Amino acid sequence: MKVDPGTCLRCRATKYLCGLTYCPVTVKMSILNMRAKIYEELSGSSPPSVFVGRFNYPKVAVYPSAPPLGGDTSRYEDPKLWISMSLDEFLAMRLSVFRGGQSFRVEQASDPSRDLWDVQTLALSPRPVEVEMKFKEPPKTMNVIDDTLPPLGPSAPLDKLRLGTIPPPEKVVEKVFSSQDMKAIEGMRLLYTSGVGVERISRILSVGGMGVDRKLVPTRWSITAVDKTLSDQLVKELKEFDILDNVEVYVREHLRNLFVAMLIPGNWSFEWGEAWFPRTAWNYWGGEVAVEIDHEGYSGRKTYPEIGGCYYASRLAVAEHLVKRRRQATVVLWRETYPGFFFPVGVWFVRENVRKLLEGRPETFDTVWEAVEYLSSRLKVSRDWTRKSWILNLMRSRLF
Amino acid sequence: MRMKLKVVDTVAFRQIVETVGEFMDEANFLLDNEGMKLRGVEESRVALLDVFLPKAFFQSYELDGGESDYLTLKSEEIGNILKKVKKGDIITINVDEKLMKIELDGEFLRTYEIPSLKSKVSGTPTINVQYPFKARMLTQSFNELIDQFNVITDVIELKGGEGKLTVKGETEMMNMEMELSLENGLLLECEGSEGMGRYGMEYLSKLVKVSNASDVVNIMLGGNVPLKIDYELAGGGHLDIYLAPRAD
Repeated sequence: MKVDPGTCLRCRATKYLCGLTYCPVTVKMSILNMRAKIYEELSGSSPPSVFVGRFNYPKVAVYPSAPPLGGDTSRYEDPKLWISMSLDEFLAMRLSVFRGGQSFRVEQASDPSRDLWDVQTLALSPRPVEVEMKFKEPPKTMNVIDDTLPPLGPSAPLDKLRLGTIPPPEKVVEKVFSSQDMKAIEGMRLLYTSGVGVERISRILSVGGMGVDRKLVPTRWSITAVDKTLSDQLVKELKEFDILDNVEVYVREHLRNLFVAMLIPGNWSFEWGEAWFPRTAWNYWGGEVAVEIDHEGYSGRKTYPEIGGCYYASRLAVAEHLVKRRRQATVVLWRETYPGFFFPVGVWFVRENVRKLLEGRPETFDTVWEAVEYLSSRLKVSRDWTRKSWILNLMRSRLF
Repeated sequence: MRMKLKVVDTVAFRQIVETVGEFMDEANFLLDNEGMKLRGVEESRVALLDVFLPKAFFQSYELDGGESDYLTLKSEEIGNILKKVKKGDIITINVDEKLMKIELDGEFLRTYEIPSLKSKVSGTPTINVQYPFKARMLTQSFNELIDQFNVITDVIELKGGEGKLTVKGETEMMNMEMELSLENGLLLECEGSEGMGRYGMEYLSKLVKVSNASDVVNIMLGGNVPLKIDYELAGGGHLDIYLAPRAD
């Protein structure tokens, strides 16, 4: 079957636009996974890890998860460490996280049963928790491979979950969890400004651990909700700062991906672009490089970007950088993904790479066109970028 | 600063303020003896707004001592208040050094008080272009045009001349063309020689809210120069937008 490459790029295994009832990209990737051992019972240490599915919403599956290992497993849920691992190591690790699923209606989060309460408590923990999971049947090798989520291993219906001693959460986490009148948006911001990582915030949000009208939130949605909410606040703050002095260009190569940032003197505007080469995750059957760009002007955007959760993950990373420097800029972020990178690993990959990218030393230029000229030797589809870039077209089309 | 404005055509006022808000987070209106004026460039410098609401637009228009002064409106803040406006309501805006008090009087009286703002106002560049082509049409027709093209394309090409205005849009999948002329009745007036340019729908689509505030709009084109869209407002006012041509 021949699938239009543009279809996969728009779909990313979420809508089955190709007409099949499964995603060939995901299946293909699943076959390539290392097969993990299958257990009927699992005794291990949850990093902690909880996954909330999105199918059958509002009745969703909630999966407390753990690898079959004791001790400190925190690295299983720590993107700051993942970014320095090889893809092999990362995938082997993540695909050995077993999931035990139970179904709940999303609104049960506000009045949880004992089973759901245990999962919520697990999700709040700042450190790994010893768990015993008894499955109703041996877990199947149905891994979660997704553009937004980090990969997860096999799952089975959960018969029983037993938790060991749970380390108490930090005061601020306890406060957000116990405050019934604190809006989720305020909870997210409070946790973030108190130094809680975005992955933990999205985990707490997904188990219905914050907000007034509490609900379970599928993990995929909670990750993007957190990236968007936090970056919205940071963007609002950075609009008060002075404009950057020069054009700054950052370049980073990582695991057959090239990340490029251009911070241009000017008011806040933002663009995130992806170029997927043929034989990469979202352009597997394509014959040409597929370039997709989404953007926002000074006032933000009113629609969800077609390019997906990476947009907000990258926006958060660059907004953090600008707020830290107390500067405002027009931002161009591009990513080129080369053949060989055929596994979607989640938006953490973009967030952490852009954070690392901006930690680097920039090349500076007087004009954006000098910067573009410099980048033409680093980018492989330079002409496509300059032709399709919303911000570069905007710069060419200004009144003054 | 002390000023008091009373507006009876509240829906039109709301739409004008909302349209300005589409382009600017903060709008600095100059109030002088002629009326309420705004001239400003939106943040990405692609569009320039020139708005004039003459004294006649207001039921009452009072400036303390007749002296001109600036009134700063935060678009989100004022937009949230004006969302509550219903047809038949009367808006009264009272501003002093500390507070801006907005009253919406209709079935019942709602009063909002927000701190008075006075932002630093910097000079706005002017655009002096002689437009060889001008077409006049109903605002409703122009809105329809924007709606039609907005669903299929990001950029449109406007071409004027010989008594008609031709609009073209294209995507990778299709081309679309629409002709407005004196003959087919979609133009009220059309004069001048040729003018042409390509303009972003992203900006044009922000204009559809003006529909109740203006019945008639003038489209002015030159040779790849900023497009001028001039909405005629009640009492001799105008809401003009200059939009830079797309260079891609």
